[in-house]
Amino acid sequence: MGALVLLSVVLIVLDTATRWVVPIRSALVTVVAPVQYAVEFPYLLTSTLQFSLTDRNTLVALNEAQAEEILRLSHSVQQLASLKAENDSMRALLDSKARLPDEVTITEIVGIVPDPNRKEVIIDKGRIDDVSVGQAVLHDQGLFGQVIEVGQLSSRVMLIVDQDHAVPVRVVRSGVRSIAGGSGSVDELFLEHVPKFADIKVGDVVVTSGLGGRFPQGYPVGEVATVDSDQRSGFATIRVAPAARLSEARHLLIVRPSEEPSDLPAAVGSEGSLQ
Amino acid sequence: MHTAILIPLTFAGAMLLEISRLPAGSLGWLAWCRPEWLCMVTFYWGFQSARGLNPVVLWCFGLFVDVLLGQPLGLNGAILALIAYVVGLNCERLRMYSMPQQVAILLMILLLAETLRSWILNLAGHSGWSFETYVASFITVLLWPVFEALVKKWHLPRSLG
Repeated sequence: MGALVLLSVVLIVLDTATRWVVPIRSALVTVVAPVQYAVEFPYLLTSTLQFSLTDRNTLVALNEAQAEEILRLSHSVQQLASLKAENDSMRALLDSKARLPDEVTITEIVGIVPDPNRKEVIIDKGRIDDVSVGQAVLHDQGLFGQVIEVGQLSSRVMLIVDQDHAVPVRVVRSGVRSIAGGSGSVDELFLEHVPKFADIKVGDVVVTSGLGGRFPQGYPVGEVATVDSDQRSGFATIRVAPAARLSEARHLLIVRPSEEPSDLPAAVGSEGSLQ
Repeated sequence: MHTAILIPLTFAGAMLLEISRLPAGSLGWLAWCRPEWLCMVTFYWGFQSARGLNPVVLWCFGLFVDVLLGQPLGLNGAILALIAYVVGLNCERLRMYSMPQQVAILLMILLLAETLRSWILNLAGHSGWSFETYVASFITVLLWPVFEALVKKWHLPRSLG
């Protein structure tokens, strides 16, 4: 018994302080992937059945709404194309390298980590789909989280609201940079160590700054919900409502950064990693 | 049913129940009330199985649980093996105990196990601890009489007759 406890202590220390047991963990993740699928099967079956049993009128309405959405989006894409061309030519004038678009892979949530202290999900893409630790994960409206563990067939994603997560961000309107730390609650993040005189207002859009090199820059993280300036402290308490619908998500996008290095400053410390 | 089949079956069922999805949103608090199925199953077989549980097999099983729960490798194996060891040492006594006595011992073991888990998780850098962590232990002991009667029905059908 003593030997088992000692072995556990050694394994826990190695797992938390080093990367030596990552291969063992990855192998175990691959072995338990079918268990995750088995547990999620009833939910997947229910949603599939719900879709199959949807009546015609609902489907027609859904189709029309999606057609309108496509029209609206294609309008934005047309604008985007001209803006991109303009941006590229300006970058050429500044002798700055053009930024390459990121590649994305569509994935589906197949499990939720049951610990209420953790905000993590399991997705159905793994090493065979070129997923690797640290890749950013997006939902339709904004940043969702990052990959923290990869198995052969599935991976674990930590949500941006997990209390162990932090992402370097920038306020679009004023350009103020900060770190958005998770609160442990699914509907809020906090901007950390922001001076109370910083130019941040309720409603400001917060996007990834790209500093740290882990998250690609410019993806929406959320919107400033409240700004509280404590007179006794030098810092403001700024609450951000996540842009992505974290609790409703089912399909996600894994962002694979382009091969070419961007023209951003090199990685700064450990920003963008786990706290 | 034969113990050699029933033990793996109950452990597999407990593992599925440990990771099954619970409602989110307004019912998110239910996540705190999830019974500690694996500890309960380990406790039962620790004193009801004639040969006891093999700590090495239990420890290896714990590695899979660690991966499913996203916890440091070795944590659940150590907890389950420790419960099996402690219960195994006192199995004769536990078999003679009345239901309230069993509930009291189970509660003590679960609270100690949860404290140990919280310590290790905090040392491993996982932030977040609150008294809600112990809610699951109380829910588990509330379920114990029902669970014990159900498994006993399969395990020792004659004992109910």
